[in-house]
Amino acid sequence: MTETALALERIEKRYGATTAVAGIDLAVGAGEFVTLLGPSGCGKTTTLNMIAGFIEPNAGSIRLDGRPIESLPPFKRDLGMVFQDYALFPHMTVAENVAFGLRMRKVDGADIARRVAGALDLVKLAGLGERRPGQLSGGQRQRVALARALVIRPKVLLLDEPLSNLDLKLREEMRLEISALQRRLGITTVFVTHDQGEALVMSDRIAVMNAGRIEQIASPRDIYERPASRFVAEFIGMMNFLDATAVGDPDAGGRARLSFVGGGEIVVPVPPGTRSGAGLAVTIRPERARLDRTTNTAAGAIAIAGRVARVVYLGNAIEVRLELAGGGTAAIEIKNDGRQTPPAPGEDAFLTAAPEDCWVVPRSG
Amino acid sequence: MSSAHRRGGRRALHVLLVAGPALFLIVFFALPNAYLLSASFQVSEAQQLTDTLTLDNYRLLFTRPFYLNTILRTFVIGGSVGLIVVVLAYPLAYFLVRTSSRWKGLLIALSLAPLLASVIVRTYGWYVILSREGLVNNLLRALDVIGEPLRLLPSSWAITIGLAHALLPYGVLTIMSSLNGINPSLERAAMGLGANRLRTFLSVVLPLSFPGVAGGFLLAFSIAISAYATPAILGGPSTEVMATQIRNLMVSLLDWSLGSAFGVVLIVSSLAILLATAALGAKRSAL
Repeated sequence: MTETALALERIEKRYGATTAVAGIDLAVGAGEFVTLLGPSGCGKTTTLNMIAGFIEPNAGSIRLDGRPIESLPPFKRDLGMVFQDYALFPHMTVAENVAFGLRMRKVDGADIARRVAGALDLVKLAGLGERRPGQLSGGQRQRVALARALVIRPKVLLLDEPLSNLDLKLREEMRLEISALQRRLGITTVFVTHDQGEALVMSDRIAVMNAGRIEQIASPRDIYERPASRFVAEFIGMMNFLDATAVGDPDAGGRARLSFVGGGEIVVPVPPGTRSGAGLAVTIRPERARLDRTTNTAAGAIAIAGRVARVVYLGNAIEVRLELAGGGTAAIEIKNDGRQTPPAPGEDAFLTAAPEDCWVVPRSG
Repeated sequence: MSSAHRRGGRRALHVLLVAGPALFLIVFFALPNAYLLSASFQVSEAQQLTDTLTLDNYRLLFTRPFYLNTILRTFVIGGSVGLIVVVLAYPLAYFLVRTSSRWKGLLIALSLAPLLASVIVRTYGWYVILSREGLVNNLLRALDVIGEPLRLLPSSWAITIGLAHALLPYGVLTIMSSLNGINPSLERAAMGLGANRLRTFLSVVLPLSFPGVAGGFLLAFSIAISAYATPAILGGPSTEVMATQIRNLMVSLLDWSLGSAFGVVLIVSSLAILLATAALGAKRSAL
């Protein structure tokens, strides 16, 4: 990884008896786009506000380019922030909004005009400088907020759920646009969201947060395909969990034989530190699981018996809900490519999966 | 047929609902004001209004120094009261809006509590404090700051203090409501962009709360220029304001036409200020 631009060390925030952020570590590389992802109340916004300086941590340190900034007031931190509600100054024009940070930095007039025009150009709002925020659409306001944060050339760009107030189509557009802009400018970015889709599309790395802690920090692909915990596996996308128990310790390659609670066995990589007899959960994504009428599967694959409970038409796919013979349900997604006949409810079928489509996490936590 | 009937019935109900207040306004507001206006253009003779029309009443008001001074004094007191109210109410309102104390509700109630006591009671409170044998004089004499008691009453500034105290809650209320309308993340945004607390206040909070400041000032101003009780108690013959002067003219001197002219000046100036504010507000919101 490139050098660290922003580092959080054991940052902690308590409100009375409740702990909002329970001592997290996070290192963001220069030019990197890191997303804090989690459900509401997980501490992601508190963490962002501690970076910005609006909330004072109870413990820990925050370093920007190696310099501790946790005791600096927000106006001395040189960060650019985009707020969920954009927080544009309603009594100023678009150009005045964008110029605000430059005026506070006492940049001279001609320079301000040039940089404001440049920033508005960057977010494709050239020519709208004289409008008031009240005369703009949601998407345009969002762009002004972005221009206002970027024009001061901040060391780090902080984005607090900036897309959550936009409608779906615009949101998907802005995802790609902000990503492209961020990469073009090479600006270090911390992005807070509860939307896993945004996180997967935009991030270099995602930090999944839960109850004030970072559960896992990894690339979008690793978060999706190799979740470190049941929480991460459950929070991102749809996931099937099949309870299993380790039969014997893992081999040198980290693989162990697992026996399913509902019957059947599989040999797969297990989390480090797994011992014989440990309770585990085998996770299979619905799009990786297959529906078969027979157990005639390749060697090493699993086949779990069940009965079709529900068939849901999703458009590009068909989701089959299987009631498993050993208890519980599983979802299997069949591509709607016209080559497969979806089963009918009540039919007997098997969930089958190859070992490489399975990923094992601890059963609880 | 029946629905048309019902519609007719509903319309009759609407008319009835509007008729009550309309009648009330006509009898107790429009007619007295019309009477006041016409009386101000009539000649008073032998303490009776005559049918002769004249502009002399207004000429007298705006040329005789005694009356002119009364008008000016009223506006100076009104303006000072408005200014004091706004300056004192702003920090209090800001604190009340931004505090996260669990006593917030109680603190707001306490700041508005003065409204519960009658103006007369509060004004006599000031009378007790400022009179010859009052708190201020006794304290200063006990501390040997002064030998002879100061003559604090009657005076224009005593009236100003009394009114400002009475009207402070109005300022707190109007400024609070405009501060409440400001998105707190605007202040964060300004600070994030490099503005310290003072500059954040001056460039974001103050301009956005200006309507509340203007509203508080005008409310205090217009109540102050028409106040009667406080100037009557804390003032005297040398500090007459329009309201007390109108009473003198109408009740003591029975000069109904001059009193009416004074009344018209008071009403028209309040109205002019109100309209000017509305026009200013419309212009601001059109921007």
